[in-house]
Amino acid sequence: MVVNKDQYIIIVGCGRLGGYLANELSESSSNSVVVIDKNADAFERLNVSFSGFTIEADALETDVLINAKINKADVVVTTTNHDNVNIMVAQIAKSIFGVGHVIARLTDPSKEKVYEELNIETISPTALSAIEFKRIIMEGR
Amino acid sequence: MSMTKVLIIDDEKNIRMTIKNCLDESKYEVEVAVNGEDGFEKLSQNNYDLALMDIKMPGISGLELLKKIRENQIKTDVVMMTAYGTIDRAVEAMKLGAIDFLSKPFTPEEIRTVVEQVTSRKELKEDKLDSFNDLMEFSKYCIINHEYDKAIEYLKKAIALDVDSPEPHNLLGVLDEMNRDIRAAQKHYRAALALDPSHVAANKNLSRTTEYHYSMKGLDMGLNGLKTEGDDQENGSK
Repeated sequence: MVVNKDQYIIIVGCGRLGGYLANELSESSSNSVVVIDKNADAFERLNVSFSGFTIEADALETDVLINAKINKADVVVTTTNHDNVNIMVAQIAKSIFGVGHVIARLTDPSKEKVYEELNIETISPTALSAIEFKRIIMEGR
Repeated sequence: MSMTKVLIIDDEKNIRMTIKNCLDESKYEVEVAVNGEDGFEKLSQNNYDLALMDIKMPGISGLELLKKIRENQIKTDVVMMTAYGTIDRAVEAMKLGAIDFLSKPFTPEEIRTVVEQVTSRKELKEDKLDSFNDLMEFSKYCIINHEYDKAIEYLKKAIALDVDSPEPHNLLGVLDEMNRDIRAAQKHYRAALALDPSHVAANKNLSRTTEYHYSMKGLDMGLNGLKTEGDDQENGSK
């Protein structure tokens, strides 16, 4: 696997998924990771060893994304619990700011079609879990 | 070649780690200070080529530290780090010999670029300034050393070399504002905007100088991504 170094990564949402991802990514040598969340308490999920930036603000506001230097981002990941927020921020990142790599969390797998039409990569923890459960069940048969 | 000694002064561990991780260990010897007091102690005891300091720290702030080190004849080059791309005391920092700003959050590339620019600036020779970038960097070097007339001379030379670039016009405007010549400053901001109507710094500077209640607060030098806005945005990035 080729590992890209020195990436500027913006994570929207510092819930369990966003926080975990931010911790993991900031451990990789010289990545610069920015986490945006409306709720300051959410940043408590970040490890003491987290090296990166936190911005307490609403990522749906374009000014917040501009201040986060989204135009310089290599990757934008949207990880909030709300599919509509994820899709909107992902679309802004892709269409307005031309971010090369945009990945969105998808809570409801039935909305995948919408993302596909927008050419946005998605990860659905629900679908991934279901597939893994199925695999374990089938192997244990 | 000897290693470049860099001191990072920031009360936030994550910022210190981000910068440290981005600087190549084979080129830079990086030390950290956890606050202004610690920074002052380290700057007084050792010679650093460059200090990156957060403008907003508990205890001694970045600007107070800058003032203190200059009073103590410590001439280390300084890059001020500002939250959320904003600073309202650019002029004060400039007068104290800090013209380089790094607005948070920063990309690995931005960190390396500003460190390389500042450290290589000292090697510029006045009689060997070949490119537009050399002239711009030398102008900044003059500003840091309070040679404002010389800075203006070299900014004009930079314009002659690249007539399409708005940056020297914006910086000339900033120098005029420092000299309290608002009309001349506005002329330069307008010239910058004529070349690039979307130039953010010149746009902001022109609107600010044409406001009924004129204030230097929010002056934008348009360097290293620096954008200057009000205090209200200073609290967003941690």
